[in-house]
Order: sequence, then C-alpha cells, then structure tokens
Amino acid sequence: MKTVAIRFEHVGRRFATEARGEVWAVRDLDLHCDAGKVTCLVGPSGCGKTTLLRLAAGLDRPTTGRVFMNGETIAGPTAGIGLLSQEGDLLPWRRVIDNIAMGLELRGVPRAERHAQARRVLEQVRLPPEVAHSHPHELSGGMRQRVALARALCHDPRVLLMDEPFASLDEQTRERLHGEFIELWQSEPRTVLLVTHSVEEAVLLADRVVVMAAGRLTADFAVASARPRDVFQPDMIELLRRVRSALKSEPEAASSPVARGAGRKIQI
Amino acid sequence: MTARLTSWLRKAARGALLPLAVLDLWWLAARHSVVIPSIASVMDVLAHPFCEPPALDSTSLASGVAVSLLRVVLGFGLAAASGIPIGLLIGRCRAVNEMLSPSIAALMVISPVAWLPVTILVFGLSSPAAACFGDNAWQHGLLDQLRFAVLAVIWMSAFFPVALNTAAGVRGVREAHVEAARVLGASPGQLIRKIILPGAAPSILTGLRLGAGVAWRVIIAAEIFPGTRSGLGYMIVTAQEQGRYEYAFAAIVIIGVIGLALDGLLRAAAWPLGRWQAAQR
Repeated sequence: MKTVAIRFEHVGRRFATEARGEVWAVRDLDLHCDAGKVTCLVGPSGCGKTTLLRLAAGLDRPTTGRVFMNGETIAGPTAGIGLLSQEGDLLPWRRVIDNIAMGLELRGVPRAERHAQARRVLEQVRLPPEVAHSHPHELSGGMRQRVALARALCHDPRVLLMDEPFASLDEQTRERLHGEFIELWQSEPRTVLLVTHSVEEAVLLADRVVVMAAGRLTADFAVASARPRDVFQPDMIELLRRVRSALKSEPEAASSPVARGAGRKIQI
Repeated sequence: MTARLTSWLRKAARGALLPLAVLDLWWLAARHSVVIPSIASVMDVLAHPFCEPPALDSTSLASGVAVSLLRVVLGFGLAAASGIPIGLLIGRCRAVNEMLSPSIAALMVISPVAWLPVTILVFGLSSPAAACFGDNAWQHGLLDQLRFAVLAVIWMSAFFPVALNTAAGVRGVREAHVEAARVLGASPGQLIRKIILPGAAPSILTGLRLGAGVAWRVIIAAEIFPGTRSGLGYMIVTAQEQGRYEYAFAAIVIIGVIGLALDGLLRAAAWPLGRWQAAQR
C-alpha cells in the first residue's frame, strides 16, 4: 500500500494585492504526494506552484483547507523537510561547510559531529573536499546549487521540496545535475515535490507530473519509464506531447503576483 | 621593486600631497605671524604630553585626551548598546517602525550640540562620581569629569546613525535567507543571531563608523561649552584665551589622529564583511 507523505486537502490561498485587489493563488486544490516518489508540478508563471510549495514547507498558511505532512497538519516549518530554491539562498558570510551544517547547528549538534556529517554530504553531491572552506561567492552556479542541495540533505529530511532548483543553470550543468540528483535519490528514495517550468525536466525526473493552471490542478500523469530516461525515447516523446498539450489547453494564469518577492503581498 | 610596491608608493605620495601643502602654508604663516605657533613648538607640546602648564589650569594634553576619549567611549558605547536593538526592532517590526520613524526623522535633524542646554537642565552638573560618592565626588577626578549632560549629548549624536543604519541593514536582509533558516528549524532567537544580525552587519558597522565619527566631533564642541572643565575641547578654548596657541594646535592635531584611528579601527572590523558584500553586488 502506498503511503502518502504530503496531502493538500481543499487548499486555497488568497492574497490581497495593491493593484488587483484579492487574488486566489491556489483554489480548492486536492493533491497527495506518495512517500518515496518524485512528484513534479509544472505550469506557467503565477499558476500557484511556488505558493503550494511554501504551504508544504510551512512558510505560509492556507486560507482554506489543510496541508498534511506524514498525517500531521502543517502549522509551520517542521523538522524532516529540506528546501531547495532556485538561487540556493546560501548565506554569503558563511563558509560552504557551515552553510551545509546549518540545520544541524540549529539543532545543537556539536561542531565536530556536524562538520563530519557535512563532509559526507559534500561527497555525496560530488563536490571536492577543498570546497568546504570556500565562501559561496567563490563557487560557480552549479557548485552553489550542489552546496544548497547538500544543505537541504544534511539533516537527513524525509521530504525534499525543490523550487525550480535547476532553472538558473546552463544546459550542460543542468543535465549533469539531473543525473546526479536521480542517482542520489535512487540511493535513498525520499519524497520529493519539485516545481519546474520545464516539461522535459519534469518527465525526466518525476514519477508523476502534475499540471497546474490558475491555482488549480488540470492534469495528472504517471511516469512509469525506468531511469535513466531520455527525452528521445518514444514513450517520453509521447508523454512530453501530452503534458505540453495539457499546458496549452489551459488559459494563462489569472493570478500572477504570487512569486516570492514579486510585488507587495498582503496576507488576508 | 615590485609593481605592487610602486603602486603603493604612488598612492601614498598622492595622499601626502595635501598634508605637505598645509604644513608648508603653516610654516610660512608662522614665519610671518607672532600669533600662529611654529611647527616646532607644536611638536614640542606633542612630545611632552604629560606636561601640565599652569596657564592651562595645570591640565596636560594626555589628561585631555583621556577625558575626551572616555566620554566618547562611554557615550558611544551606550549609543551602540541601545541603537542596535532599537534599529533591529525598527527594521523587523512594522508597528515599531511606524511608531518611531517620524520622531527619529524629526530629532535627527537637530544638531546634537543644541541639546546641551537641555541636558544640562535635566542632569545639571551631576556625574557618575556624584551619583556614587555624593559630596566626595571631587576626589574621583576622572569619573567626576564624566558629566551625564555631556554623555547624553554624545549618546544622542551616535544613536541615530547606529539605529537607522541597523534598521536599513535589517530591512536589507534577504527574506529567502530567513525562510531557508526557518525551514532548517531556526527559532526566533536563532534567526536574529545567525541570519539577521550577520546579514545586517555591514550596514551596522557603517552606522557604528558614522556614529563614532559624529560622537568624536560632537565631544569637542560639547567641551567648548561653558560648564565643562576638562577634555581636548576645553583645552583648545583655554589655550585660545591664554594665547597659548601651540596647545590649541597640538590638540587639533591629536583630534585628527584619534578620529583617523577610530575610523581605521572600525574599517578594519568591517573588512572581512566587505569581501562577501562586494561579491554580492
């Protein structure tokens, strides 16, 4: 029997904007993410993907409905979640090792122990040990994202929330990171909720692709192909066509000002 | 000679041009005036900082420096200790910002020295020594010179730059960093200690530098006011009244050197932060 790790139950999130009055970023949405599976949310900008991820992370609260994590209602950020954003959001004044070990530091783990764990994770994300003492600005974009992934994994979360983590990378780095991410996930399957603009990325990485538009779920595709996948496989080409078709059939999102930091947002 | 050394020497030579020109003008002016002291006489005062000339109430240059510095350190310390937490509140809490910002905007345009009559009215000539030892305060010379009225003016001069720069720095901390730490399990106290204060540190240090500079300028002006009987400002006024301009000039040189040292010290403290801040731009 499948275990559900994240469940959205009749979830709605409304914002008051200065320019457009009240806007529903997410409306009456039901979704469950199976434990140990990769679920990808795809959709146009402003369709509510990031809002949904923030609700799952406990960084925001739904206006209507409830969000459950492993059966418990989410009332705020909880232990057991790792979050990876587009920019990585590493702390620029901290060395790489201290960035990675931050979650453990906040839990009071002794320095030697947390550094040892951080070095193990650094190796898992295929970064050389000497990077540990660098500052984030001394690294390339791909390396910074690897460090951010290491930080999200260091406290061994069972659920990983990823908000367009590969979007700011060049194509070659992105492809390499896709492969490494899947290897990492296969070595220890965690529940992953991944938000992306890229349909290719979604079908390459996910067990399930969910299409969103205007704050609602509009299509849901199971991806059964074995990994590693290739977008030129016939079944992948067909899946890509169907997902793209689902995206095109929906109108542009009516609610746009939901991305973090985009314009002023007032919580109702 | 390496290129680095050549570049450093060129930079030093350019920086020394103006001071050398001023020294030249001073030398010329001293030769043609009986009032302006010679460079040698000023150097002589600087070389004997513990000399206590009877014409200047038997106060030495060293004691003047000690009293002025102690006043600034105490007043500035109080300003930093109060300005950083209040700036943090202004930066993080909208209600506090809306409550304090109009008052701060109105108060900060008033020259701190203008408050001296008010602080003298409030505190009189009381000092920490008077508060602790009552009538025997005069026996605790240095402590008795730290008038609350002057300390309050120093506090006021440094408080606004420290508080406002802290608030600006706190507002500039990326919300994404705060949220990343929240997801990693940071408590409100940990958020302040590990994210907000380090993130705002460059701006806080700028505020401290500005505050220290203003406090140092204001102390000299405050000591010139009647009622103060010690410090570098008092020495300048007394030297002028007694026609001992070499002491006034020596005090001015010392004021410049200490101001430069204070700024250098705070710049050095801010240097490690500057590296990641520059990389962020």
